[in-house]
Amino acid sequence: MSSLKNPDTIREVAIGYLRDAVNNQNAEFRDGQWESIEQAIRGNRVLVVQRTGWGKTMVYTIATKLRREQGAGPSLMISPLLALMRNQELAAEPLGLNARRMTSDNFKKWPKIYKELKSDKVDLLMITPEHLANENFFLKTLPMVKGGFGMLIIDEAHCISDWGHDFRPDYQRIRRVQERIPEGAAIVATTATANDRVVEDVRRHLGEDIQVTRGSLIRRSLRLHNLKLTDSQVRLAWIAEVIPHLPGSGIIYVLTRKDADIVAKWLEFKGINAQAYYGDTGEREKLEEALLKNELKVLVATIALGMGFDKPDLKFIIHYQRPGSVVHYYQQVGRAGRGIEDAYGFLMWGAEDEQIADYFLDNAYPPQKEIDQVLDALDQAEGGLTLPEIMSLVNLKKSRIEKVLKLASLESPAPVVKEIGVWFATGEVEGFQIPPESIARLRQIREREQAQMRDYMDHTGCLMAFLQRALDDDTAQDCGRCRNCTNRANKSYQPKEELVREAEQFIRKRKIFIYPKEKWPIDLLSDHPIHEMREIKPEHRAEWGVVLCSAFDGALGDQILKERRSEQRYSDAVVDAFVRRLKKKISRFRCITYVPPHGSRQHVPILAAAVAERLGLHLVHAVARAGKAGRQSAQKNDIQRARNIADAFVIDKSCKLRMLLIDDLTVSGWTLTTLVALLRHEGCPAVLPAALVKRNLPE
Amino acid sequence: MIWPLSDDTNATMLLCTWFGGEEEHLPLEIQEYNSLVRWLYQNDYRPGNLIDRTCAETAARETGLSADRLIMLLNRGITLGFYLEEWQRRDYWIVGRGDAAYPKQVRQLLRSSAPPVLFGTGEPKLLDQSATAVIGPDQVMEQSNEHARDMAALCAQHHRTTIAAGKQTISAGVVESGISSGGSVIWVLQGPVFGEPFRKSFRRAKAAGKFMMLSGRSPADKRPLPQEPEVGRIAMALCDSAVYVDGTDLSGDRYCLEEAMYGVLDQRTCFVWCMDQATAAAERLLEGGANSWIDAEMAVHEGLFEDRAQISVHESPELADPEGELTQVKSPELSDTLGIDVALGLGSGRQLGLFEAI
Repeated sequence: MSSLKNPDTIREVAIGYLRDAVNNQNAEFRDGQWESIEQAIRGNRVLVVQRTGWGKTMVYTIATKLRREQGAGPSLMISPLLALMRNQELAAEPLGLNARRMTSDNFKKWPKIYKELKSDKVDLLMITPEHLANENFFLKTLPMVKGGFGMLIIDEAHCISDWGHDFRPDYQRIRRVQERIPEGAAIVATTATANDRVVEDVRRHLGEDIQVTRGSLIRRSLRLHNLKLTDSQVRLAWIAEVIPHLPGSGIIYVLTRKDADIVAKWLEFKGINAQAYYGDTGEREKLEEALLKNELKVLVATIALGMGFDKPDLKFIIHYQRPGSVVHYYQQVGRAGRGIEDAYGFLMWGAEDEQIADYFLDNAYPPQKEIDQVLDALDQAEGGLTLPEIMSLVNLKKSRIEKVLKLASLESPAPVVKEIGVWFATGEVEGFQIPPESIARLRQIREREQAQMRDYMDHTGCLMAFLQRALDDDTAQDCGRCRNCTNRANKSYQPKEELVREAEQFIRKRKIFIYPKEKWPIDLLSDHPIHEMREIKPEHRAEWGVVLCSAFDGALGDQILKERRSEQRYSDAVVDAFVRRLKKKISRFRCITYVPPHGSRQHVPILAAAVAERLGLHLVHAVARAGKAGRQSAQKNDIQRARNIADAFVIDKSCKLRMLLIDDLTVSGWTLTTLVALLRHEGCPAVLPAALVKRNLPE
Repeated sequence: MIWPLSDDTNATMLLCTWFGGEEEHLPLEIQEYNSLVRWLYQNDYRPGNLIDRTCAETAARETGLSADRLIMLLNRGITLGFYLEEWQRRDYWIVGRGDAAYPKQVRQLLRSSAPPVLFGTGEPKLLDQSATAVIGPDQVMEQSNEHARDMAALCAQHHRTTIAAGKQTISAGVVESGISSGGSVIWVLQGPVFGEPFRKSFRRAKAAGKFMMLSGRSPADKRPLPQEPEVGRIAMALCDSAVYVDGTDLSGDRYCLEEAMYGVLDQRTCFVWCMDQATAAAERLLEGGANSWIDAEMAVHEGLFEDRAQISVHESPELADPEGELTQVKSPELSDTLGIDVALGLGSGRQLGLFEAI
């Protein structure tokens, strides 16, 4: 350890670590790598702006190693990228570093990690920015680290800046934290995507004396292609046609979970080994591993498969829809070709892109009315309220309530705080509003980014140079490899017509189910015995239900919603399609009933009668309205919806035969769940819910 | 007040603040901190200079503190950053003994035992207003509690800030009554300022600038509460007059509030309210010169709501710095920054209260 006081010796030791880490005894530091490490081990602040694959990880892992040898505490890395953390755990091993992550998907391991922290066995602890809002961070993690953390690593540091392309509210906290850290504590901030303005802003927050290392952002291995294919069936056909010809494995980025499922299932249907990956997918880690080991051809992912996913031989990235900004695109396409000579980036865009982009734009901040509703509920409470209690008082979608709470709790001083799962208003609650200038600024940034993205899609010059210039990289030159540089811009890339038709059929026939619910959203929704316990008794539960199609699918779903609005009954085409869908499922069922309509609409009874007739089932008018419920469509969250219909129905005629329960539209599923429970409570042995269309809760 | 923290307060927090979980290198005890500050003062340094490792090592060597411990404590900068952000977000404020905003009365009265850092939430301006402390033992008969609540209401009626100390039943009643009567309340807590400000009535009063909580312990400090007189002495420092509400402590614990009042009997207008028979604690206060509470009118007449005269630091020799011998007088500016009030006369600190804060 004493030898590490000599700077020359430290550099030699550091190079040794670098060589061990990359398993190459001739490796040398890249420009700026050692200088950044040196600043960090001196307890200074460093901002590293370098392209993906440059070796930012080496800066902080080697600095951590050296600082640990000098007796410093472990490093704390804050990163929004779960995949990066998983990679880091492995990457730290050659350096003899013990890296641990505390993320939502490994909370069972936290007690063990606390023990390791306490006995100073962790060298690098990785958390997400959101983890700062977890009370355990202050109650357990921080106190466990003897002598405090030795170095703070802020990954994706562009998020610190208000001008960054990523709006991550929790980075506001990180910005304030690092401003409050006294001098002498090492901070390493890294990003691959920061333009001049963002770099200056980050520098302003981290301190003017911070050392900035900045390099060229060109990704020489990438061959970029822009493909204008607006219809989803054409894009599906194209990927099915092209992927089998692409070497190696890759990622298809989509904007929504629904698309991830559709694309993955389509590829699977076409014999391509593909899986969907998004926030709620179980076994994300396993899917990443399968891709790393080339056991999968394609992972169809939302941005949940973040920037930190490191597979040097990833051969292609396909964007099924356009990302939110050019910088996002640069980041995502940059996953490919990190360790190989040739890789492909295909950018497609669809008719729905603009709508999705607008949705994200409009929903970045909740409207003031929603903020007031949530904060008023808390302000009126004597003590605090849990989230379900707020949902029960405020008729807003859960995600909207959470967004208000999140944004409000990040203010300083905050109008709301959370203590042991309970939200409290503070003295700052009255008159709280998110500064209109922040909202306007974010909107302005987003609109500019979208305009730039459209410019990129229409760009006729070098695509890589466009990306570099967007990030103020003054080394940008024509790459000579992209679709435009290689004069392929006019070459047709339309897929075969029969494949397009097949894709269209696939979208239409996609199977959607209604999952049987196992719990009511709150206790004691009503006095009825079905609500006796929070858990829905197994003998009151539904069978796996059937849905004909999803709303806004650009096909039958749209047609059904249109008929629902403007016709007196559903067309024969719709009824036929529904009957075909039900036929395979109803062999065990003997009769059919329906959700009684609210008001005079007769769509559902007529539909039920038609289905009964065609399937040869006995139609039973089993359920009646008790007249207590408001319109279900006006209820915005699960609790409001479940409570609204808790007393809304009575069983007019009990039935001891297996029964089909029909509705036209299902949203949260509480109406069907409640009716099934009531029917089964009255002796029906099994109920299969079925609906024409499934739609998400409206915003 | 307070944000951003001065370098000196940052260093003081690193040295003295408990974040919870400390086992090996414990934050400095107040005596240790005092000896360190004394060394800094004598060598023309300030606490902020300790961020420099060489200075910290020298200071440790010269003061007999463990260098490892000092360095480990000072290395908690990243941890401190996280806590400061968290506390500021919760609208807590922090003031170090070297800050101009540190309540001068506390520095003067508690001197060497004045907490190096005070943590508060609510309106700090209340510290500058005329105030009456209403204190008493823990878990007393309802009659005593009732009187304490009446006292707080009386203070509110006379636009006088009420000070409650500790978490006894009496204090809780005083705070509730003071707030519900529309008055201003300072609640001095022995434990951390935590959770309480979010109760509806408290946060409304806080938002109206009529409620403040104050403690010498950080919100993260979860150590068990010792029987320390500090909380009572802070309350006595902040008040102009005080009322001791007597009663037999049903909990069996003896709390040190009456001791704190006893120490200021000659500097504050003090009253003792007793039930039929005074307890030994009340007897002692009365014998020491406290006024017996007859009724509110009489108490007001006898100066219950009058402001105190300036404290004479020379009149409480038992509170003077027990250790300090200063051989060299520094500039008043520097001493202010360090939280040291320099007596202009030379000689023994013991005689002159040379250090009021160390």
